[in-house]
Amino acid sequence: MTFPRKNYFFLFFVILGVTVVHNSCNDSGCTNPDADNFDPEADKDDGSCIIYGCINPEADNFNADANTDDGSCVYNCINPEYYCLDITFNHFVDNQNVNFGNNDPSYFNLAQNNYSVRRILYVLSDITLFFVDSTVVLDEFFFINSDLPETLNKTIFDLPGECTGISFRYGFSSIQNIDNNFINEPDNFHLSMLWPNLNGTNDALQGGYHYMKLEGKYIDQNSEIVFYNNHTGPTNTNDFSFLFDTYTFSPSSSISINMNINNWYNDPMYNLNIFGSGIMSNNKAQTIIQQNASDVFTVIPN
Amino acid sequence: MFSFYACEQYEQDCMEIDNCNDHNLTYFNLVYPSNFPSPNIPNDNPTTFEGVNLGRHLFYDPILSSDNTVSCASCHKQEYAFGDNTQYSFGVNNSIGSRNASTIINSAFQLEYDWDGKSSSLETQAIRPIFNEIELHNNNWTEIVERIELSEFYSEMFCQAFGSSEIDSLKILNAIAQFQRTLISTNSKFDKWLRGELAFTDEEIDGFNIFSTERGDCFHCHPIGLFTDNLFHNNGLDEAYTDLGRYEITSNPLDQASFKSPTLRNIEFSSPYMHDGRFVTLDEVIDFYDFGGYDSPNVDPLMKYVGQGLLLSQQEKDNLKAFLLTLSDDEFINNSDYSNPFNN
Repeated sequence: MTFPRKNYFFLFFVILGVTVVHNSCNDSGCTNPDADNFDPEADKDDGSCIIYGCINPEADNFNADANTDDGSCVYNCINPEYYCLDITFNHFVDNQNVNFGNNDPSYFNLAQNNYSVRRILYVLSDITLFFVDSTVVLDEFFFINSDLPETLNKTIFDLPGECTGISFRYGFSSIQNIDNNFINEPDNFHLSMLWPNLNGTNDALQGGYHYMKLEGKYIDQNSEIVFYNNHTGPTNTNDFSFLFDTYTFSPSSSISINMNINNWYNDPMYNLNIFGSGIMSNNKAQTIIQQNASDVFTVIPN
Repeated sequence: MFSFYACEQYEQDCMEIDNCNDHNLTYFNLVYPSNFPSPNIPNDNPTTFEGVNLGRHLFYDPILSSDNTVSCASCHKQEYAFGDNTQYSFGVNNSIGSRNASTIINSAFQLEYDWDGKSSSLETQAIRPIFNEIELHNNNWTEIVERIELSEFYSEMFCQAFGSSEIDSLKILNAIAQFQRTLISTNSKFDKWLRGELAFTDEEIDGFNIFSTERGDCFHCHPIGLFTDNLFHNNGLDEAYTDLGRYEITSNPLDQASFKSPTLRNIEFSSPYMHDGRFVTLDEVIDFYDFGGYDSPNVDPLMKYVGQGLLLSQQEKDNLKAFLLTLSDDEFINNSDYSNPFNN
């Protein structure tokens, strides 16, 4: 079969056109717009799509489209194969629930200080959960901030059974409490709890994180209502954290960790009038608060 | 015709390719020190040189305002640490605002934006000034997009940044956010001192100690690193409130007259100070905190010397100021990568 010469030219340009178009449109890649690595220029799926999510069908939030687990699985706590532990953090002054919005210094401690509590932020670390036949050491710490209601409840997933005990440390041990160690933790932890590092110019403050920020007002010796900031941490590199004995309880999937704020002040007695508004550089104040820690918390199953 | 037919099934991709030659993205690596948290970059808006370039042009271009007179940079000027040197800034028709233009330094590391934290992402932050009647005063996105399309200047830049010359609100906001994320200041005298590259004077060291201990107690709201805690505080400016600040967003009574702690980086350049720009000099600011602030039901407990005052000596005040001046980053203020591209 023969073509006129002009037809050869026509055929040449058609083939060229097909080739150009084919090359410009035939990129392989991920063609799923829902994928994290979606390639809008790809026209042929090469199986590379990555969709993050929970890939365990047993989980409450199983994502059938996901192919890469992102650690987000949440398990139904009543499914016996996936026990959970719900923890609620409560704060009292003796038998009263703390009213964080009340500026009126209506609470009393052993030193007869009248005081209020505006907010409390603190850390519990080195957390171990106990079960009938095993223990689970958590690789996370708890950051509780009364200004952030979402931090007042925690749920630990994927446990081997109902929990029978818990141990934890108030604050961080000196091993963990180093500068920028938790810089990307959620709930603005780093910027909320940073303990200054004075870069060798002042021995009192050498970095890490606060253990606790307990703030409010009290009536001072001049009958003036003034602020107090009971901020605790590693003053002069001392480890003022406190590791509690194990709290044991009947098997449960839900517990409350209750803090009695007055017990920070009672034994030995801590007087707000003596230590004043700020105690970060005060070894004696830090020591007394640490010595008071042992009976501050109670743990009860719900 | 044959070519068109061959591409029909991949119409959108091919149209983009036809419109946008050489759409190759170069990812922008944000560099920051170890005492900064990771930047907040959404997966669907990675920072690229092409996006940053487009965003920089849009940031400086009054085309985003309804009468082509006001740009983002009209209120966020590089020489003033991307704030404004007037108490309140002027918008379209010489409308005047009610809050001082806040600096946008190190925005990539923040979680909420504006004095009251109304925006929770850089991508959405620009919406407020674009439609605020006392700022850029637009009515809708259509008119903005039309102005940009008519300019013919941006077509290629949108191609390069997003693979399509089609202009829409999402791309505009994403590009501006990308540019803002690059505004990183980390090379002040203080940073160099931390890195051991130079020495502080005795006055600067004393000022640093006042700042970073409860003597001056500046660090709780302005922690070392970002020099902002990214939180909202009532710092005792007034006994009676005229601006409810964060409360207008949360309706939480405890948030009344609370405002976001600004970064103190480049504070030398960002006068006037406070959300309402009431203080012109750093000396006034230091005197205010030395006074201790005014008591009111919502003063933050961190203002623990309300009613008492810090009682700093004049030498201590001078030293604190000397330290604050070490937060100036001349390299940032003069960085041509951040400057008005229309002047180049």
